[in-house]
Amino acid sequence: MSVAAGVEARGWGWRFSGRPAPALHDLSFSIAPGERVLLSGPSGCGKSTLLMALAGVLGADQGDQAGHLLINDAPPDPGRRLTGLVLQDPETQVIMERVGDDVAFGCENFAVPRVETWRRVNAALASVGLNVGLDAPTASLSGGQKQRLALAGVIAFEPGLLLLDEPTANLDPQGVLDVVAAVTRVVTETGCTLVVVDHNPAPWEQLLTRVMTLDASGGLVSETSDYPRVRRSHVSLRRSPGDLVMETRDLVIGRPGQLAIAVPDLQLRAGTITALTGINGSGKSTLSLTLGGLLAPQSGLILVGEKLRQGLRTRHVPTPHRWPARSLVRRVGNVFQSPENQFVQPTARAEVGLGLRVTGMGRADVAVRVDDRLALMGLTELSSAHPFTLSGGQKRRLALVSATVTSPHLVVVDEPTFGQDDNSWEDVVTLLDELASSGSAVLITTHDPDLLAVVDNIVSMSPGERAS
Amino acid sequence: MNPLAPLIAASIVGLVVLVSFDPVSVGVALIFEALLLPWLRLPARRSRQIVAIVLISAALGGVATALYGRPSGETFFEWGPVHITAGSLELALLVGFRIVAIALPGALVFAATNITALADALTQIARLPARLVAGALSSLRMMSLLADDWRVMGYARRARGLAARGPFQFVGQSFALFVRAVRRGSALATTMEARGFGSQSPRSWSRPSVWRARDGLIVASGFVVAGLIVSISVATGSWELVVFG
Repeated sequence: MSVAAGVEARGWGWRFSGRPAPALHDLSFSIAPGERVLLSGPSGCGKSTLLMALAGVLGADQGDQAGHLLINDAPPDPGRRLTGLVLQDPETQVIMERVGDDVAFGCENFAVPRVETWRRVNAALASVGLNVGLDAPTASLSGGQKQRLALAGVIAFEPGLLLLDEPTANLDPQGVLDVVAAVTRVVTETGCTLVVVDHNPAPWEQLLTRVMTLDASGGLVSETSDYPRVRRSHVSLRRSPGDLVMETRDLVIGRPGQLAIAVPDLQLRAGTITALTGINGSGKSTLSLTLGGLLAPQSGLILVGEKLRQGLRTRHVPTPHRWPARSLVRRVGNVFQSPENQFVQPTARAEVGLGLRVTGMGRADVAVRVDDRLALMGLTELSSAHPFTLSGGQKRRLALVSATVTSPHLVVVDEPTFGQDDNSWEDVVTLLDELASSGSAVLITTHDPDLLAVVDNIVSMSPGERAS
Repeated sequence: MNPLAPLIAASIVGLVVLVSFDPVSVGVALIFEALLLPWLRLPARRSRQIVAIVLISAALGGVATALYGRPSGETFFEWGPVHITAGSLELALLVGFRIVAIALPGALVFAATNITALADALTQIARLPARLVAGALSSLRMMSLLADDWRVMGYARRARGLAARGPFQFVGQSFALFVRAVRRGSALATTMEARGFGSQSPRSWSRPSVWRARDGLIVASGFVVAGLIVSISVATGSWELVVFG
């Protein structure tokens, strides 16, 4: 099978075009063939950029490099068939319509003969434990299955170096275990070199042999002998349950044209944090959108508390999805699962200030409040950056502050702690806690056990609760 | 059956209707198309959708011709540039039916085609460059994702307090969707490049695309139908070529 590949960096650095500071600089390290490395470092330090460079997909048109980065003594080039890259977003890694064709795609590009291609496709699918059949439509796979499909598509052409960039992002706990098990089997079978970036390193501990850490400025690779363990010490402010902000009765939710889901009755009180849990596809995001006033419920009641209904027209009150946008943004802060989806301004500063401006706050007051919020999330230095250019964790923190800058009575956040390192995890949880302590009702969806430990109520959504 | 064969046959019929401009050839073409529809075995819902889209575009084309088409004969209504006459109404009917006869076979056959098999045929039999075909194939797959993106962006603008519905919202959101499509597209391109796509070295084909005798027969039947359309139209003395310009 594949021959493990080695990596050598000598004073290597990378600066994206149009950015004054390099994303990575003065990196010198080597990875021996067969090593299994966790690449760690704070949110936004350039871990993903290093993986892209190793995969040979950072084009010369995207920036300038310094020094040398070598895989088996030559610069990275995807055409050498040495590297296999799996990224975090399952959607942008599905290439073909059917499972078998998708896995075969890489083999075709490397001119693997037909019979051998299909032998490898079957072997790769078996290795990653994806037994859905060659003709299964890729669109019907879950997030965890899509990630294992991407892994199969990569190992089918037998690369010597496997590069995984947050491959368990947005997966439910079972999906995470399945992906880690699949990688473990593949690496054990092939003996290939492995470099993993993951904000949640715990499930990988058994597999990995070495930890390399980048510092916040994208330099200085240091070796850590201790495997990183999540140390989360969160001190809760004094939260106390207040009035009902929102309540549901016999609510049935669903996007148009999708299965309807019956929801257990909920009570969201001021001063509390409520968590929705449940596997991917159980309707957590759909419920968030519905309670956040973005999606019409299919049936049932949404009852709105006194504070939330003040200033609304009576006929609008029972239907949050009909509230005028300006009324909504004052009352409800919505943070989506993919933060990119909610950015509508060209800079981080404008993004945070938007909610205040549309509700009529004066320019000077907006500036003061925005500075305060950016500092709270450790984003001050990035205030003039375009939101799309931030790292995954930074984007999520920006989305969170910009949606809650108006101190809304109800805050609905989909997966708030995904992609955060220990420090920014604290920042996020502190903000949620601060919002609840100052009288908001906070509703979150999460799989994060550390976060579940600090909430007030947990509501479990099960996929069985479908309305007929 | 090779997916290229029915597409070629449908194009030949469509082409003949495109260059002709008389009710008989349009009528004969529509009769043949109606006869061949069940043979495609499209799900009823899907064919209804396609027929509906084609009929709406035909109706739009027809109405525009009725209002602004070359006036002749009795005038029924006149207001500024709008001039409805017996002649423009006649022309409108013909234009409407032509649109149906030209668009329907291609649209239906395309809907009944497995896109992956078509891509295989285009690269292996029509010898189109693999980069082009695989690029088009993956972008087609992304179209369904864009529909989701559009909906989520509507939510986002509303959630951020920007939801005044109107032309500005539409323009702003269209631009945002465009940016997002480009970003998604480049992410997908990264995935494909990382799997060796686009390198100069030769490629293999995991799914052979073969051209059999019956595929030739299907193309031939396209010619036969086209020939019948022209012959019947000429025999009845109504054959007319479309006048360009």
